[in-house]
Amino acid sequence: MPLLDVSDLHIAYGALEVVKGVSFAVEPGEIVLMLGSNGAGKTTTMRSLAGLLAPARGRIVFAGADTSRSPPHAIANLGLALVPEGRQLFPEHTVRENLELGAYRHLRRGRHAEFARSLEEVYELFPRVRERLGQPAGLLSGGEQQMVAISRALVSRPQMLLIDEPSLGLAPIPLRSIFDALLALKARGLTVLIVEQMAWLGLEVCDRAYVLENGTIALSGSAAEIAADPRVVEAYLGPTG
Amino acid sequence: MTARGWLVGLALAALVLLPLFVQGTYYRFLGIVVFIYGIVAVGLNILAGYAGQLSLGHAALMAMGAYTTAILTKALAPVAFFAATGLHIWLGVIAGTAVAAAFGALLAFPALRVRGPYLAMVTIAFGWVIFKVLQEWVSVTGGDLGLASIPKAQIGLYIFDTQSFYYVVLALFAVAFLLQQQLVGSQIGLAIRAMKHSEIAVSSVGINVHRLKVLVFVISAAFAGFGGTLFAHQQNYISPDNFQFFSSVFFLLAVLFGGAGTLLGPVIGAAVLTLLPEMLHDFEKFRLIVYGGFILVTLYFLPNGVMGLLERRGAARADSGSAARDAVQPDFAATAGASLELDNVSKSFGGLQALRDVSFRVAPGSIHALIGPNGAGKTTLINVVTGFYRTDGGAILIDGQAANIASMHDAARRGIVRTFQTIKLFGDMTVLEHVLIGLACHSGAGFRLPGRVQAREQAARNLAAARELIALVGLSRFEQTPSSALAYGHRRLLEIARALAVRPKVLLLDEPAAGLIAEEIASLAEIIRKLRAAGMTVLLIEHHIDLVVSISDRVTVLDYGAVIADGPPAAVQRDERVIAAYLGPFHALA
Repeated sequence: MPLLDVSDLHIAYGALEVVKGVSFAVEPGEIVLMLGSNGAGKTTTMRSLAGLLAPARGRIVFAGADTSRSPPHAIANLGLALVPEGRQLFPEHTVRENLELGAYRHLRRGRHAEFARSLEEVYELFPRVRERLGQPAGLLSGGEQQMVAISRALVSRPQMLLIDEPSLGLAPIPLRSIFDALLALKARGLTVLIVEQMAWLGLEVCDRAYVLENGTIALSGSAAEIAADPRVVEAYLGPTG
Repeated sequence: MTARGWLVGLALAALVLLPLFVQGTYYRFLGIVVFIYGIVAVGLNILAGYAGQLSLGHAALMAMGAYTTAILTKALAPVAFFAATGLHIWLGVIAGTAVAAAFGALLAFPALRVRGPYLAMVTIAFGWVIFKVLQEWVSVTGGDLGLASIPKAQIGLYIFDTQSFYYVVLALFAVAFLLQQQLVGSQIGLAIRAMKHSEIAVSSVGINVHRLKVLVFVISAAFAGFGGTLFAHQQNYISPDNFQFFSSVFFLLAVLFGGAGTLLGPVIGAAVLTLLPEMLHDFEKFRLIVYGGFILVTLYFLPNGVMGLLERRGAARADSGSAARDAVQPDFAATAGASLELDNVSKSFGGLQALRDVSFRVAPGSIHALIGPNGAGKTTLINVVTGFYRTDGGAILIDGQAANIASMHDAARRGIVRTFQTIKLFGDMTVLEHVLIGLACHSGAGFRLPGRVQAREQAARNLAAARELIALVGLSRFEQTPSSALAYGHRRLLEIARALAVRPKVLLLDEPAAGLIAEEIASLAEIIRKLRAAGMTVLLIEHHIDLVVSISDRVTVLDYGAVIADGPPAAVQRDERVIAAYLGPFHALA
């Protein structure tokens, strides 16, 4: 059974329908990439999966529960964690406080040992996060902030991650470390749905991909199939991809 | 005429005819009060609703108008000339409005430093000070007893009674409403509405935000003072009690209740909140509880006020059918690019040296890329060049002349225009409006109210120019879309269109390709090449190395605030230090 099952999803801002009947599924342990030009509805879809936008129509089933109408905190508690576009850290809080907020639902129940274990796992993935623990998140470089954003989602011990544009504004070297970390997460068996405009990077880490155009799925297939599709090569991998 | 235009016309006709059908001075009196409060609320709406500057001191500004005219007309009334002409009343109205406007300018100064709740606190303090002065300065204001026997409004020998004054105030109220409409629709209005969302972005297109803020406070205070003068001549008696803190709250409540930042909102709010208590007489001692409860419930269900609800219903239109225009080549001939030179520029924040002795030259009419790791000081450099920060040392030269750039709007006026890494747009304003604001500054028509022929022609020219720029960045089908509804990459393109509207000599692009797919990056490259072909100088900060390599004439690399390489892209790409600090072993893939 898929971990995330989306069927006939419609999402509108007022009268403007942005997502027009999207259906897809993510199996446990898979990394799935969503591609699409600006305005295709990717971020909108991600936001509604996380409960930040109510769909106009359609069903979202996560871990066997219908979450189409669930509030964001309920979805997070089911184990679906969003790493939002633009990172959205708490800039004046230290890195450690950001992570504690990520693990809020565990710490509130006194599971400190579990949090300590999550931290160790995060340090293994991103040694830089340990070095920056006491610093305000807002003073970190872009790459470090993205590491903290992913770590904040990981310490909630999610069943699945939604990652929206991790590459935004990153220089080549930190970009590489973020995608290496995603490969490491894949090896650990984490389920991930990722939106990434740098298609060649996204296709490198994913198992399968969907291409969204004008609010509908125009194309889907394995990473290799998508990477070989002439339309994808032209629009997403092109000369300056 | 639009449907709304007809509605307003009908409402006005009803108000004109009302006294013929409703008998009794009481209702006319109530009407006058509604119109006066409406004028004050309209003024507050311009400030709080459109410009986003909270004020809880408007009752004090109204008091300035009322007391000024009261004192002046009482002094002049015995003079035979004034008694025969009634001129003293209208002198008083003008003087009262002017005095309130002057106090508005005074109140604007704290607003240059503080915002939101802090500004609200300052205006509350202002209101208290004025209230106390009115109470204590007995020789002038009459203290708690106030000023009585203020002359009634008069023209020639004709003295207005409640019946005729109703029409005078109705007409003045209509004028105030029209002024609001004209202001909001003008170029100033665009800038005022934009200021609410991002003051930094407003100054980036060359508008002096400080002056704009003072202006909007003056305008708003003038409305309040004007309302105050009419109030004085209607009541014939004023005391500090008329202008208490609660009155200020009342006006803000009226604006929020009706719908802040809408034309009709303050009018509806003032009318409902004034008339409602009168209709609740039957509730006797529970009257204020019912009144408060009604406001509470309404604001809970209508967070954007009455007009907010109506506009949401009406906002069905989305992508207007404006077809995508292609093959656009905007006329940039007027903007020959300038050279930009940094000579030993340094900048530090506390102990952190963000820029150390940075020197390089951007040739006129070239595409010059600035690359480096996250945190290398690239954005700081843009901030220094555009006057957002002052340098600690070194010089910035434009076309070889040392430029002492004092502020962002100063930089924009010299033709140094930027986009922002952390996108700064104007919330719910449309794509078209964003670009029109950019055009306002250099077209010179900027700060003139529309209506005159040249102004209308200028507006048409601006509209055409704005559409061209929007087409250039490929956003034509989103002309009427609020910027908040745009996808991330489209917001970046809109920032570029807004910057181009200022007609830059040097355009500074801070990560324009972030969030774009390959196809979109290719069109962005095409746009940047077109700008160079037209002679513009472009300084490009970007992490998409292929884009940098394919379009740049020259590349400068920053690391830890210092230049580590400078040269043609191919050479920089091979530089060992650049590979170690920035590109990584991985660059071969890119």
